[in-house]
Amino acid sequence: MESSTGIDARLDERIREAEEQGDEGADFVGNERPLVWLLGFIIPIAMLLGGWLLYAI
Amino acid sequence: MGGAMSYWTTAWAGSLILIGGVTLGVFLTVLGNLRVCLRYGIDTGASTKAQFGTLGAVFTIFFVWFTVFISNANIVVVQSGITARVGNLAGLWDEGSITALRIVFALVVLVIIYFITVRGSETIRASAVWIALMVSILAVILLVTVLVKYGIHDLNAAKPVASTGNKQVDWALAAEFAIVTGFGCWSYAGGMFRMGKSAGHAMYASLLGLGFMICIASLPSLYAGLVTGDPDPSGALTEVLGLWFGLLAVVFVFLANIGTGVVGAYVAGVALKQIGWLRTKPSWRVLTFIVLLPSFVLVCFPGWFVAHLPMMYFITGLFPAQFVAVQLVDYFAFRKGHLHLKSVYDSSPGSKYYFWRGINPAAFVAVAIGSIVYWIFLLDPISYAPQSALFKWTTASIPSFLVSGVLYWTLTRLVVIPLGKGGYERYEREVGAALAMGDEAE
Repeated sequence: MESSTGIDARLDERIREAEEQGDEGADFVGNERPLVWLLGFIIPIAMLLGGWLLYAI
Repeated sequence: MGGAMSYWTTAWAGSLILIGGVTLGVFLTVLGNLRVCLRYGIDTGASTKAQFGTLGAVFTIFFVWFTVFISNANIVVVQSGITARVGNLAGLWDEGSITALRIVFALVVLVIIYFITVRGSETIRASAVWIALMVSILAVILLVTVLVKYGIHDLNAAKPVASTGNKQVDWALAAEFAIVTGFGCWSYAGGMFRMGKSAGHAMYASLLGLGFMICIASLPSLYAGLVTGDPDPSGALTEVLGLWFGLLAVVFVFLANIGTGVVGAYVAGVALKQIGWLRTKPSWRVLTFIVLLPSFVLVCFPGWFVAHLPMMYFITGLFPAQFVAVQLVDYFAFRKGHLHLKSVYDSSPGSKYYFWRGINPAAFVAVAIGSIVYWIFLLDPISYAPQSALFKWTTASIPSFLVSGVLYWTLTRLVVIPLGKGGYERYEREVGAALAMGDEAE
């Protein structure tokens, strides 16, 4: 069965549930943000530069 | 992955470049997908409808499928090659049977992947933990074995297999290969995050699993490739490890490939379900078969497939950095991490992501120009020949990532939003409110 927006009625229900769920768990909390930038950005760039120092210099 | 790194770097520099580059690519990719896929429970393909349009996202969805069936065929061909060689080494069959048995083993592995995938996400989630744990333990054992067998001295002395003669270029090629491999998780990312519990949980798991541990698992191939001068892991590892540890390598690669193959088949199936006529019609069993069918065909021609692999990886490696750039700019600069979920599943003109006949040209132009910059000005992705002196300082993925991001922001801000397309009301309201506050302050 299709709703007025052209999508399946069961899917419509699931979409409503997802929207009602809110932002819980979707954002970093506490000190997670600086930690993930440290682990995912700063340390990897330092490792790339370390590889450069070891090999290219 | 480790085998390819042995072309350009030495053991310790290569270890750092591999882990750093892959983790950086993974981090940016996760950042581009995490919040939206986790918040709304959608996969990568569905999430790109907000940038590429409800019809334009068919391109990204087919890209996910293409990446998965090429990747699955590749890992299975490597796996079956190692198995066939170790069996030959053990005297179980003669050398003339290796090619035929390689095909048989590959088909068997794909059948196993099919049967695990059809059981659905809960089975995958339950089995993935054990597979990941086993692979991690075996990876550490293999790494220690290679280190003990050759020792620090031999690894220190080992030279790159195919150095360009310019160390700066070698570094840039190795770094680019690692970064682009990290971006390669783009096709898999959303399909995994949609089942995640929290942003922190998903990010740490990605950095540890997709970044760090995959690199640790690749280090034996790097070291074996450097010592033997053969960057093909199926040959190099067997030569380095001998029969018994070669058998261990077979188990290791088997488990790693089953895990990767199942996750790939699952995310590609979920992605294809975003296409209207595939959403409800075929059962999950049929859809999984459709997802894996090209891999079944490709592994029957291992020689042809391996010979054409660079061309296929050229396609799978060229676009993800630009996709991530467009997603990051769209989510963080304009949509502030929010989507209109109903519009993701609505392909009618009433959808906020309908743009122009279902396509957002801004996203396609940004990706195309970023890709042209990559190919024409920085690095030929087929021959891996640098296209300018700039490449050795900048690599290729990061500059093309920046070009696509800036271009997408400019086109969206100056063309798409003023024309009232794309459902950017939230951004317009915030900009309007900021302007009003500025006027009041004056």
